[in-house]
Amino acid sequence: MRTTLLRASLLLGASLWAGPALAQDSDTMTVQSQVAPFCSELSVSSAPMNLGSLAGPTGQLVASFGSGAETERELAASFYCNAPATVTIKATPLTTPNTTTDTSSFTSRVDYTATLVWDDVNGNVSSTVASGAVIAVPEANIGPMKLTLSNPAVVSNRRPVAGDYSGQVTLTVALAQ
Amino acid sequence: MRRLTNTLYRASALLLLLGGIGGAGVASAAGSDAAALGSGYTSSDAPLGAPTELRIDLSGTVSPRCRMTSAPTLAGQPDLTREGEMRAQFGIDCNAPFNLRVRSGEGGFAAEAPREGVTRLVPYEIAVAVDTDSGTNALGWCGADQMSNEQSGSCAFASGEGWSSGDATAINRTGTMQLRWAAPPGADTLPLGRYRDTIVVELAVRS
Repeated sequence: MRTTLLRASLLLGASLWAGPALAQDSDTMTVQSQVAPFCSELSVSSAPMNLGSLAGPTGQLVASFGSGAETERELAASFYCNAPATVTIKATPLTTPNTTTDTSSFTSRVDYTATLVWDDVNGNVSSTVASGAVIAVPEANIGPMKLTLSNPAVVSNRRPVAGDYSGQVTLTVALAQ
Repeated sequence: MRRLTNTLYRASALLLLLGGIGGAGVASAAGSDAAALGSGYTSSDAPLGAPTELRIDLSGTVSPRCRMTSAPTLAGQPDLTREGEMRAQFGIDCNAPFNLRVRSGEGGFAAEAPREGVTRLVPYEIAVAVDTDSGTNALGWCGADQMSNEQSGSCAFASGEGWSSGDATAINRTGTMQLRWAAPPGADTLPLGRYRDTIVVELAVRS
């Protein structure tokens, strides 16, 4: 009986010695996650920007869009992308289906310049450039986004024929991945 | 001694229990890290922000207009007792294709105080030329009787809706109107008095 107790005491001593070594053990757990590149949504009223009368009292093209015209529109009060992005801006000219054979004096097309300002980033494109323009946004950006239309122009100072004109500005915001 | 033995058994049982807990902790740490994010969520669930396209429609107008900027005015009074001709210019401003029509109110110079048995009207003719942005168009001569409301005949600028400019516009251009009349058959066949006619020039955007 004494021998059994002694063995049990030795075994217990060894176990107690190993106990502190297990308490000091350490391991590393790596935690990974990411913030996905993201741009906020962009939507705007479907109502056209009415640029008013394109011809002045002499029948020639106006030097600038009239005071009553909507030449500016805020597309977003606070638009953002949390990563580098590009904004492609394309402007199609104002055209009317009305035509005339006297194309040396008249035109059915009025060009203009579209300017986009997004916080401290800006760029512009003329509707004469069919491919549009790409505005690079090198880093995350946030702020109001505004579109401005200006500089009506016709080729060779031709007079615009009477009629209803329509055009379009297309903005494409894409993350630069 | 029995107390010591019992104490040792209890301590051993306690150590075994602690060892079991330690082993379970190591096994948990060796599992997937993603599990630590919580169930039902992975980073790929985050919105990736597909390209956004926005189209802004634009509109503008060039309103059609067609007006006379100045009315035709004869330099003086025609002397109807002899053959004569007079000319008058008028201004037009049409930024769209248009129709021009000329009407005569009386169909000739009409005596204000006609006398019985004497002709009331002195006939005359009008020629119209219109300067458009495509060039000058001479529309020919028409008798005033052809231009009256009752009888338009085949006059180029009096019948129907009048003369059509085709595709031509006429922005700040001029037109010319010529009047000519023949001498009366006998100088004393034309009664004394005032004679008048009203010539109406109508411009309208062609729809």
